[in-house]
Amino acid sequence: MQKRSNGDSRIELLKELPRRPLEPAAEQAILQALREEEKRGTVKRKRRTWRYALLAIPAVAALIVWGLLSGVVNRAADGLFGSRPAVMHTVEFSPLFDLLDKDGSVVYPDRLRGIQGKIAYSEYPGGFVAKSGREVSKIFWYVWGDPQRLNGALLVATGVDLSTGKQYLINRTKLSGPIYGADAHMVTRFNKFPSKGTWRIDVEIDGEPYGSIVIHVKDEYIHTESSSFLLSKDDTKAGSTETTLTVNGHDLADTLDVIVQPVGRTGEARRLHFVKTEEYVQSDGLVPVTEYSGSLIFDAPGEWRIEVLGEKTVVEVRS
Amino acid sequence: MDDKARIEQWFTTYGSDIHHFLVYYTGRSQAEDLVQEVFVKALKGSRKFQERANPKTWLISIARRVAIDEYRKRRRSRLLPLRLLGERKASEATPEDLAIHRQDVADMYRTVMKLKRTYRDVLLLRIMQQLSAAETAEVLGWTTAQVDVTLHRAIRKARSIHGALEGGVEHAEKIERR
Repeated sequence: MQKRSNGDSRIELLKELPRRPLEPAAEQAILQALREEEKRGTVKRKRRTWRYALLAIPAVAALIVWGLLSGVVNRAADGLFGSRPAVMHTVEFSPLFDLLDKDGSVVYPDRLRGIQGKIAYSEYPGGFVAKSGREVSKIFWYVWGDPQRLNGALLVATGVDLSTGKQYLINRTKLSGPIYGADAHMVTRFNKFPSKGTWRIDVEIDGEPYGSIVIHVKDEYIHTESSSFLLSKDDTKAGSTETTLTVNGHDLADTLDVIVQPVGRTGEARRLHFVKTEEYVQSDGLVPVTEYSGSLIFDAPGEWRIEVLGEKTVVEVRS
Repeated sequence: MDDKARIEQWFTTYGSDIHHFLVYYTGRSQAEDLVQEVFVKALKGSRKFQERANPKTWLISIARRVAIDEYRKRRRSRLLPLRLLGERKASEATPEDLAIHRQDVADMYRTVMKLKRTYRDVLLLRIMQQLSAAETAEVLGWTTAQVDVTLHRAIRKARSIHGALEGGVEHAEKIERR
């Protein structure tokens, strides 16, 4: 039997075990614990400290939410007291621009979002969709600056939902060397955006603020428990829209009927025919998925019920 | 730089590496508490570091001792849940290829975790953590020759358990020569 080359050695597979970095919350908790140990001047084993700190995070978040809610209630009640919304001013979204090569030629038109000549990421056509892993799975960062400083530097991107002020870790990665006209780059995966709306992505490089990118995240995809249309609720409009439907599972029927019906108006249900196009395993969670193609047709704006394989959901169709 | 600032800097630089090592060395799904213990021990024993050249190997040697103590105390299963091994790796490959590849990676890890401790030590340090022979020797308190010989035997043993380990011995010879 012919043996594989050295470079193909299967023992090398150990290098590809999924990375298990520390979660940011745990990292902060451990740093805090180290500081406390130092303060006390005694070093004791503190196995559960990080867990308490993690427990504290939802408690603090709950307090903030409670504070915001009580502010709103107060304002509604007497008009004198109230919490201010997180953003009072008009936001300006960061622009899309071309990725240029060193000689100024266009590599990809209208592909990057961010600050030209400073920092940007490659945007999936249509932008990000709340709670979806599809558009965040292969993102390139492009950074301009001192290549010596940037190469190997740690980039941390924190997302701030500007409607609530809540912060989430969007990405944490080490930058690599120059590519095209940029001084550093990295291909990575963003965490899913948990909510729709206006988000500001604050980027720090090696702990120092480097730039902020303001974006719009669309509402989640129309979905039932086990299926999802690749159509954001924001893009659900009256008329016919070609779309893809993904259904969890393999070995499903070659065709599938989607039933749409205006809410509160019986007898107007319409069957829409979707045809199987492929089966695959979704990389996000290793879920087997069957993909169908077809069109969603809504005759008029308003609330519509959508039924797929007996599971129902309701969407607001826009004009 | 005082000891505290230095340990904090090392934690920022190597904390995730140490966590990665501890997760796979112990087979636990999370190892934050052990990471904390490692750095607390490093803080306590930072004076011992003075004569050492490489903070990463020093920290991994502490992590290995912490993991062994932990294992003795708890005797828990050394194998990670499948879903943790199934996390994706960015690639141009098709989803099917990726799924098969992930299975291969998981199988190899399981094979290694069936080996005796010295073999596991040398494979996880040399291959997974990608330490050099000299660095591995520093962590384990061995000579580089011992590391090379043990690596060679570990791969041979892994191959005997995991029938499809073609090329393993040639690989051992290649990295011994580095």
